[in-house]
Amino acid sequence: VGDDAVEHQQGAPADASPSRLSRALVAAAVLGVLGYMTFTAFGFGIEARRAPLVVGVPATVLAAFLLFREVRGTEGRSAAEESLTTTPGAADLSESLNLGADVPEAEGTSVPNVPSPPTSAPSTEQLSTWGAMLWIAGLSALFLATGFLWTTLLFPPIFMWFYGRERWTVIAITTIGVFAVTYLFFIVVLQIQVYRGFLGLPDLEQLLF
Amino acid sequence: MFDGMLEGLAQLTPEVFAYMILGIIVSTIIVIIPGLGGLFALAVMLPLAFTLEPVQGIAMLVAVSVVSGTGNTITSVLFGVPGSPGGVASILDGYPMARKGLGARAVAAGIGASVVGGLVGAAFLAVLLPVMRPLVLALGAPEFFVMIMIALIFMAYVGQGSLLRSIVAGGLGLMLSFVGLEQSTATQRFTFDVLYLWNGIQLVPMMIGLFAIAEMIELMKQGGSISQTGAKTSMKGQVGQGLRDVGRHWKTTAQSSATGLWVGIAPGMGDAAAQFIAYTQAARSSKHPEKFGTGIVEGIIASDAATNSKEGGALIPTLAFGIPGSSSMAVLLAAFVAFGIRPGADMLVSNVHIVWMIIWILVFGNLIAGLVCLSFIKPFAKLTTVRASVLVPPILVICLFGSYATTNNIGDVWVALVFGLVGYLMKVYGYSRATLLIGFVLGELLERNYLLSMRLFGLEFLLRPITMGLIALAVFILAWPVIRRTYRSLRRPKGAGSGAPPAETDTSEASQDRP
Repeated sequence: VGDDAVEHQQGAPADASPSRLSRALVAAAVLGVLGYMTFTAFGFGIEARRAPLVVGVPATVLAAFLLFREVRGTEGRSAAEESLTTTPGAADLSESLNLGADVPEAEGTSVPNVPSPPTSAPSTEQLSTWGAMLWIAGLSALFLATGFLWTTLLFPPIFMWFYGRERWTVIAITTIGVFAVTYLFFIVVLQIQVYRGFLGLPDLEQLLF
Repeated sequence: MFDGMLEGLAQLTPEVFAYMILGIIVSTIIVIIPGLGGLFALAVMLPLAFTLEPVQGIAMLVAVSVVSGTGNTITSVLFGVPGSPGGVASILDGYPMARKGLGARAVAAGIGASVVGGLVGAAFLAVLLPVMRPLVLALGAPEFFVMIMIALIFMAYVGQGSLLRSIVAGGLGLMLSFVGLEQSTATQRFTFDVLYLWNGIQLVPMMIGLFAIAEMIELMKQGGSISQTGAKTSMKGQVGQGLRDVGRHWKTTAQSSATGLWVGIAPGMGDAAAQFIAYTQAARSSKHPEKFGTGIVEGIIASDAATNSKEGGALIPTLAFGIPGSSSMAVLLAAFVAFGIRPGADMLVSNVHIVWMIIWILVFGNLIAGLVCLSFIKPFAKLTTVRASVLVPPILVICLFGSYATTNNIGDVWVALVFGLVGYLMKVYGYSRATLLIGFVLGELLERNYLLSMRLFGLEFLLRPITMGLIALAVFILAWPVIRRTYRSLRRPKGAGSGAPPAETDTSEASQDRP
């Protein structure tokens, strides 16, 4: 698979194929978590520490070995390459772009039934990894500040407008639909007491009904 | 026996049947919502059940309980959003198939396997009725400990790409399962004095994060729709093809149904454990284990057949001893008692018609649930062609609600969001999310059964006959590729083996022998 072709498709070189440094950093983070948990487990009582140590010590050793291999660049292929060769959807993508990836066929799947070129992947919707994660961070912040109901009412239109440039009719219908379904199911039927956010915005139920 | 069968069938009057169908429909709708599983559906239906006649109420509750695994398949496969822990393993192969535009086929195969699994569970429940007692007593903590160990050993088969990363992810999952209060001494482990963590990390928000939110991040990043073939996806014939797949892979269906049944008998093992144990076994015994997790229909069949057959198994200790095989069976048991029916040996003598009615409900309930879910496939599958900009917000909002709804704890929402980011990073960097979740699900069970075994038998628990049999079987399975290779090299005539062996034969052997 040509890296250039992958980068062109994904629109973000760093996302298409994680660098050796970033892979090593992730492996170091995993080692850090496992090492910390194992080290902490030594302080537990004999019954409580048995299982964490039995698992933690070999897992930490393996994580250290993994880090060593990631630093040397000898651990497997990059995740992006794997996704191109193991994810059937991605396989279609590479097929359609003539990237020449080694495409595994889902067992018993009749590939001729599947039209190969992707037709609904407008480039305007593609984001970098950081962009996608920022949306999740934004959702978390909105939720923390305004609570469930305001988030249900605010997040869909914001996302649809800024991410997809959807028409206002689509935005309105989707937002009202999502709000109505979640409100009816979770609040009216299941009577869940929802979190209302630290901003203390006016009670949406009282405003609307 | 036949008298009992007919008596049980006679209980299914039109009114009873109507309540059973109501239970099935409500259960199917509830389990589609992320985070709300069969237990939640049971809790919702309990108040209504107690206003009914005992037979009607029991029929409705049993129907709710036994078919909850069927509806799970729809959202797990099509959106990568598991309705409950019992739907996670279906994502591993189902979602990649949906990405390829084969979602309807994958769901149909899953539903078909669920129905067959449910019927197998019912059949075994009927057959095992007279011999339940010795069977249940023969299985204890040591046997389940060894069974879980075997599943963990085979865990690496589930991961794709780097074996080392998969094993490390599994180890991390196991370690995360130890977060919270230790069961026997109440020692706080890895809680950082956070009250929420005293109960450990909750499975439902964790799986919603690892799979649903991570997949939504991926979808945001890529744009387009879930089905990468977009609106041109042809669903024609996919449902029929999916159902035929179940017959074509009858060995996987039978093996996984048996596994689900076996796991169901063990109290407290849970849907997720049944699915993952069946899935790892199917991957291990497959001729092409490397394809598991890439969108292979056998993977969906294996996990879904186990989910519903487990319910038949869970009913065995519930009805025979009054020992619930799962949390939903505990609710069912409480309902039986409230209706004045006391499960246990007496029930098999004085209320045998109720036992047979339950078996019939297993049969009809699974068939009806299968038909209901099949009718949902096409509209749901069409949603996989909807643009990310329209699909992502509703799914994320419902995921947040679903994470929160089970325990009404805000900590669950944060767990879902954090594991969403963790899941996405794992996906990008090639760490298997499935092995992490298998480790997490089985870790707690492993520790509990190990401690129980040690307290009851000491290290001698390894010398119990069934335990030894299981260990021998595991060793044999692990050693089988080496044994076969050695046997074939010994059989090969001298001189023929010095050069490269015939390419075709060797390639196929190598692929089958892959550990």
